Amino acid sequence: MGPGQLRIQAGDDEIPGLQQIAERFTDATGVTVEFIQREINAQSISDFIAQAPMGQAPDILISPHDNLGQLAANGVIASVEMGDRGEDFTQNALTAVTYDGVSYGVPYAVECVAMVRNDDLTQDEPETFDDLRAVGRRLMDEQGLQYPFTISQSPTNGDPYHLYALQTSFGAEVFARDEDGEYLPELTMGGSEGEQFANYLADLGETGDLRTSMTPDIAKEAFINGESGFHLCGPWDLVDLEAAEMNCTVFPIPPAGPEEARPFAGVQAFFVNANGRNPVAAQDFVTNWITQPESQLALYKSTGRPPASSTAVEQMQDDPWRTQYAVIAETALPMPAIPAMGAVWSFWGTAQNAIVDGRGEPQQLWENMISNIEGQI
Amino acid sequence: MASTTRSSAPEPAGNSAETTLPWGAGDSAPATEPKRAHSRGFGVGFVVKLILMALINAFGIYGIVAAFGVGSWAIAVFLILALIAANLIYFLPGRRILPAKYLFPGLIFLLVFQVFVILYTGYTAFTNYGDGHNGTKEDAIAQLEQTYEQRVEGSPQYPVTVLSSDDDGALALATLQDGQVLVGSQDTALAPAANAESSDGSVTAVDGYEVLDYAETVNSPEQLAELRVPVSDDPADGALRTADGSTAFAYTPTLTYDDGQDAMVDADGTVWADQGTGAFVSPDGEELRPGWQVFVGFDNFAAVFDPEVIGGPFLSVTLWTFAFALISVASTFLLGLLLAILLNDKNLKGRNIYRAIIFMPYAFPMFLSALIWAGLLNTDYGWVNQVLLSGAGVPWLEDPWMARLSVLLVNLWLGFPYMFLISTGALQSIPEELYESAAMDGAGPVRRFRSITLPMLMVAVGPLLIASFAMNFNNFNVIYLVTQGGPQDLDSTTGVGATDILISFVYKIAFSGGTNDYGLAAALSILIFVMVAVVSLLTFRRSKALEEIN
Amino acid sequence: MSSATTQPQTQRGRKRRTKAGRSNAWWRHVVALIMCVFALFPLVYALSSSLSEAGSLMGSNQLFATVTGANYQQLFSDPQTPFMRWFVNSLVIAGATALGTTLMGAAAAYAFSRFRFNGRRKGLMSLLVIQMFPQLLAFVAIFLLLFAISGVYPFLGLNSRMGLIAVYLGGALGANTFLMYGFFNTIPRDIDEAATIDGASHAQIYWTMILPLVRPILVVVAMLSFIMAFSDFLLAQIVLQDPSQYTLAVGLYEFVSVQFGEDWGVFSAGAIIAALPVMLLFLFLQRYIVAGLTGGAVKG
Repeated sequence: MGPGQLRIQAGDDEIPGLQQIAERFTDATGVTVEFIQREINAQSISDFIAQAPMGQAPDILISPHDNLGQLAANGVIASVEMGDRGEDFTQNALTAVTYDGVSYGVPYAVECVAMVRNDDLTQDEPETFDDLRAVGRRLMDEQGLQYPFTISQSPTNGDPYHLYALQTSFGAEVFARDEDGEYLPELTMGGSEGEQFANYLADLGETGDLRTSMTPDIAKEAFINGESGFHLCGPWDLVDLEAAEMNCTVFPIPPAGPEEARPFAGVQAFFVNANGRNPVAAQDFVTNWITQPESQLALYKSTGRPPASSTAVEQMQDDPWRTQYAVIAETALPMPAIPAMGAVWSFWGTAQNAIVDGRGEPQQLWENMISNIEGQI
Repeated sequence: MASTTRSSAPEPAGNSAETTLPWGAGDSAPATEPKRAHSRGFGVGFVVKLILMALINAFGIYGIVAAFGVGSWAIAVFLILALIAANLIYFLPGRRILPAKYLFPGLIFLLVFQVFVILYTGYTAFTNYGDGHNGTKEDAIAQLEQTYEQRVEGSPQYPVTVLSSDDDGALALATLQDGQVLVGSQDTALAPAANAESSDGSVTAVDGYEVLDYAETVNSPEQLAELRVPVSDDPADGALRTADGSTAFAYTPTLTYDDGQDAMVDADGTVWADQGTGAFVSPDGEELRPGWQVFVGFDNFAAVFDPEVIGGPFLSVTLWTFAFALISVASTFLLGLLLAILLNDKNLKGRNIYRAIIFMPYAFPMFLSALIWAGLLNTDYGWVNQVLLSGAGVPWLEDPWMARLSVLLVNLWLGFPYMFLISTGALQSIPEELYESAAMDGAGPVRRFRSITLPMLMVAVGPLLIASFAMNFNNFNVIYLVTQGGPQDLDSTTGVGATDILISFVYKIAFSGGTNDYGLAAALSILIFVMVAVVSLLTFRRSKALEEIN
Repeated sequence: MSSATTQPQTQRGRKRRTKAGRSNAWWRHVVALIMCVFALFPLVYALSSSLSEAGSLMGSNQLFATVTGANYQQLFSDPQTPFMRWFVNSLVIAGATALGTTLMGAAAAYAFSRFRFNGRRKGLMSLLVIQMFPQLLAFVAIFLLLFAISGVYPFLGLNSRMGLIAVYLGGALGANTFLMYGFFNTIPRDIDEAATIDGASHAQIYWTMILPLVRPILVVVAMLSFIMAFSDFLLAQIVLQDPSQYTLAVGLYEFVSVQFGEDWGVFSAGAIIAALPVMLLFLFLQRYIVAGLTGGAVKG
């Protein structure tokens, strides 16, 4: 009997990199690898959870770590112990794949948002977010730009993800964390820190600096067209900036409040199906092959996501933008993977939108949101 | 196809002024032709039927045998019943069974693929199926024991080789420590092996054991998952477990299943007991995840009486759902019909092109067009405000009433080509002669429309409008893609929004609270279903919409 | 479109209509053009996006700011996305679904329209009611079902195109039946009765008389079910797991189902190409739809 087959569910951009790794893996072990191309969203996660107990789901699933809580609570993924092989990974990457004290996955990329500056328009390096707004306003006056800065928002749902760095700069983290950095289902957005942020949001909206109608497409295109000097975005926008041959610098988001502005970190990781058909080979593939810097680089090349392995980050030559993203990601806060987070998103976003659009008194809206979320948790 | 039509289609009634029906009673033309077909076609038809039935029986019998083979009793029983029914229906003579001959094929597919979904939903409504209650209790126990093993602090990583005992084939692990080969198995702790060889830091042969190669290792996942090799005789040193067949770590169990108590016992002595809720529960009420599926009776239905759900938004959401479905049907139908009549004029030049263009929205993936619409209606950047209304800041999707109007507008755009298509088809069933005779009687265009077009058309499309109402009632996609139910009511903990219809509201309650609760979703959708079905049946019973006019 | 007929009444009618047509023509064109704009303008965005470099959908109101075929090229050249294969899969699946739905739906509509049997009204009501059932859990149920079927008929189970066709045929007795039922009712029963007196069997009446008479609605139903199957991705995504089995809709959906990484340019290009066969089908079948009863009789 041969060593069988591995079925890996991966996204379109991950497969070319994975194919290189899989070829080496197959040469060494004889295990053939089949890819199931499926992007990760709520439906594909639900499908995986429904299909896993029947032994029908793929052996390996690649997913952002914020689905970890749901996957673990359903018992559909196996714990993965990297041991010494995990030493190469950043602390954030390791924390992100740990849930309830158990390590579940092998990370391959860490992503967060940062500030991208169009160097052809300005060379300023603002220290605070208010400085940045001032620079942006000046550019509007002097060079006729449209916006002080661009940022992705959503008119229907809001976008707390992109605004989170501003929120943490006021010290209003979404959940409390234990000593290991793991999140607890205890909301900490309220209090005076949260209110200060709410007031700041209202000001951003009043001045027109922040618009809830600015969808990701519009924000990105406006920046590429030179309509703003600063663009708050994740590494996924870089491909288009490169295609437009823009001259840019990436730097951390300047804080709006007294503390450091720490965005969310999202970690892309390999998870092993607990009821897979070939669990031993799957564990072998993720712990012994994906952990190799060579593999991490292959995935970086095919996805454009900054790798999770420090060695691989050091080997990212001629890519100052993504190297900078990787550095910023080290101090970012892993996105909570606890189920309570699901209750937070929609209330959070709509409340922020209401504040920005001036549909009520900011502190009142914020308090309302807190009590609504607490009602759901 | 064209030739059959010509040969069997009747001549239009020469003079239909005397009747209000499209076809005069004096229609005798078709009578002669089927007779000819009859004398010629009987044998052929019967042979075709025999062949088809032979194939169906072969297919069914194969399936029955295969289903017994794999132990799928439900499928086997269903196939047996279906096969008997098929043979009875198609071979028994008699007029009573005639309708069944025409209904059977469609009904089988309906039973298997639609009724099953309904039954399954009904079943789920009485369970706690959802996130955290996904599988069986056995799975949950295995997963908990496996997951909650604690790696012994400060213990090293062991490179291991998997062995199989020559005696009984039981697995064992070998590892190399300071040039010495250590071997251990399920019951015996790691100990130096007498006759063993190693090269390049890995064990290559051990006396009394066979060294498993890669293929053999990955092909024994169950034994490997259960294998725990004690590091020493001191349990505190833990036992080795390997997940990948080449590296092992020393673990001590933190959660173990105790058969006697039917509970999970923690290393610190906490007892997590099964109290029938589909999870192990600690004395202070905390639940272990994963749990498993159990029946919960009517608990899911009781959730409806949560005052947050039924009290506030329920009534307004229900009203809006009816309004949405009714207005959607009415608006799409009126616009579609209007265009169909407009373009039904043979003298209108280019009407084929017009028809094709008007049909285009339907040819496009709805997913894409709904998102384009959301973009077009963007307050600051959308084409509608920017270009059409030259910079007006109309809050199309932000204001509750505007958002309702917007989803209706988008649904109109998405749906009118469909109504246009069926109206165009239905208009063809109205003979021109009717209009001509009506015109001779001096009826104007409005009267002709009201006394001929509309009644004739309603015979054809009336039933469909009801079906269309049913579809729009649960039109989750439009709502979800355009507004996601928003703008959200900022004061409600349910997250309900102004454009939420019942089905998207259920989705929010059951799926967005952090965990997917399929049991609750099933119960709520059944309640919606009962409500709609009762209202609809009562309405339709009175409206006689399903009765033909003949 | 129609050949001459010698019936005086028809000719008189035509003359009158021609006159009316002339005097009314201008406003009909105006209304038709307005509706064409209404139908088209959102789609122009898709076209513009498919030709743009930026890969965004609604980035600017400046349509066709850049025009490039790169997205189309990528669609056909990326080995990750065997677009042509998906296209063929979609055509096969949608074609088979259309054929099966039309045959089974027409048969059921015929039974409901022509026979009077116990439970007829209840049957119609049940069909209606079944359609009102919310399909929230279909994704679990259908998977379970096909998983079980896989064990018995592997060619009908998970990851098979036949299995997906079977799932689609489960909806054959849906709205389509109502559409055809209504249409069948417009055909006078005198026709069947006369034929029955002449000794025709029910099958002969159905196949050789009724079906040709309802040809326009058969074509309409075939088109509708073709489009349904062609554009569905929810069910197809559950059944088909191997990219080589994907339909166009599933494959395209993957382009935009990843948050922040949506490739709208390629998706739009794919959607435009996907809309083509449906458009061509409509253009081709249009004459069968509009050349209905009277047309069939009057025309040669």
